[in-house]
Amino acid sequence: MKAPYRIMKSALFYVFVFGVVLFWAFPIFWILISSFKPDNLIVSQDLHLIFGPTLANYRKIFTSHNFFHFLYNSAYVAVVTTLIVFLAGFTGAYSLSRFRTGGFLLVFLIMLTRVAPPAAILMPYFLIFRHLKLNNTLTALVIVNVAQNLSFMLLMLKSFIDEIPYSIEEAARIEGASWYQILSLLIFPLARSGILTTSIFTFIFTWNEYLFAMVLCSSNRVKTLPVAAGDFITAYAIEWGPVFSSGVVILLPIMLLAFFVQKYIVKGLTFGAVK
Amino acid sequence: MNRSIATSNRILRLALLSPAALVLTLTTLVPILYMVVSSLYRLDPVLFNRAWPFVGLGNYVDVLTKDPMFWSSMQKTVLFLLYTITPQIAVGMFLAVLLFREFKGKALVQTLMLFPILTTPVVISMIWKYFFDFDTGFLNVLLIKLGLPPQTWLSTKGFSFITGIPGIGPWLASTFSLNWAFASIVFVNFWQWAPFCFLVFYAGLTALPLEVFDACRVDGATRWQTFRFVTLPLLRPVVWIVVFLRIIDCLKVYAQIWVIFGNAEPTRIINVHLYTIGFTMSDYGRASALGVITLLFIALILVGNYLLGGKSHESSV
Repeated sequence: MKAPYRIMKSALFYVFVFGVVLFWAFPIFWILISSFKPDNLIVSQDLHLIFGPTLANYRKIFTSHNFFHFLYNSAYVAVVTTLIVFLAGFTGAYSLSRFRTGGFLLVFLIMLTRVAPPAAILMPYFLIFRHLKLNNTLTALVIVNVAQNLSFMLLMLKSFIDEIPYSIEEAARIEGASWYQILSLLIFPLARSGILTTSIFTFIFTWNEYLFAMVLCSSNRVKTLPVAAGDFITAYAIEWGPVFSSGVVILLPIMLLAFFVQKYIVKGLTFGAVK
Repeated sequence: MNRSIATSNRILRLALLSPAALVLTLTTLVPILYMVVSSLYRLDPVLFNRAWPFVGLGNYVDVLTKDPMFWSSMQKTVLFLLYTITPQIAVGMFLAVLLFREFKGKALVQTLMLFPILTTPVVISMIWKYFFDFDTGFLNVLLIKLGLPPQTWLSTKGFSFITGIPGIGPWLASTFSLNWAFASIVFVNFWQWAPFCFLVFYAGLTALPLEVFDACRVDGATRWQTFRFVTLPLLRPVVWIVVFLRIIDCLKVYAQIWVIFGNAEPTRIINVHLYTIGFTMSDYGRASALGVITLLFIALILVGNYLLGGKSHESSV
């Protein structure tokens, strides 16, 4: 009596799990597939599950829309931002953790950057950059993205460095190690997983960023991938083929990260909620 | 900590912190102060390079009394928060409890659930704009294949089962944004972030001592009783943190709405309104005032959430 009941229950469970996966993975999968479809099959009243794949949509964005350049812009902003956030964040988090420097004002600043919506502080950025003639430069984007990500880096790395016993450092100091040696040879390796996690997140957030890039870097010379991809959707017409292929180009590095450094990503997402 | 080392290295600790403090000051405090100042002037692209006419609180008065879109966008922002966060938390919790067991392919399921969270907002909007498209979108093509009538997923019409209620129907639909367009931006946000809630709750469950669940089983508690009286109370702090994080992130939503609907009125939450005033209408002064008001409004929501129950999470933003 019991065995069939149990089999049915576990079959139901797997059907449910399959449904969950379908709901969350299928849309992305479908875009990937559709990006290899010729135009006439995309704009059609049929699903076309079987078709002759073509690279036309990719050729189009890389040849007639200069996506190599946008790719470079995106990569440049994301990499430089991640480096600066790491340097300022690592030293700052060490100081915060070991000496409780900064006091209330600093904590307030960190919280403020964490909660302020980009749209609300976009106006002053735009005006200040106009004074400084920084609009339509990648430098402007690096500055705002550093601002957006530094507080996360500080908070997260601080909690990682808090876990490293101070006695190790004291021992090193007695042995005659300099501050630089302690930071680079002792703290850095011990906080490595925290550094990796926050750096990955800074990279992804910067890579995904849209609003600042759209307003501060609208000219073709400094456009980033999300803005360039968004351009294919206008109020008048939508070019679905390039929409799909540019979407896949944007997602590819993120999906690779999700596969290969998943552990760090889960750690970063659940940080703060679960120790 | 050794006090003498700490004090003797005062210069060093400031030197280490100063890059971060400098960046935070220059990129947050200075812009916000600048915004407060510029909100007191009349300011647009032409006036920018001249002497700005001082208008005092004029911009604030304009926003609060002469801009009906301001109040409706505030209302839509609050509704957006309510509609997106509640089902995310509920479904995330349901999935976490249900999938908290050993089964084949669990690792793969968890990896796939990461994808939506990390996916670029612009791309998510593109995906769903395509799925919801009336003429050639995936959902309607599927419906037609199945012999069903296609739906106007992105229309701004109210739900017919709401507007059909005699008397108050149309009022309900417009006051509470019960229309397809609003539902679709809520859905898109749900799709992206329910996996996040799942992931955090799941991590929360793994951190609980397993003996508790064994004890429940021994005592003959049903699954619902175990959840209601054991799991949920134990996870309460995690739930509040997730609510808090979701509020912060939902208040930042912009690209998802912009790519699908632009600044169309039915889905114009405060962020889209801010962009419209500042960059479509180029009224820099009023946009600054609106920015200040928005920051205060967000502070209010967060304080409210704090007082309601999330007191333990201030260190975990």
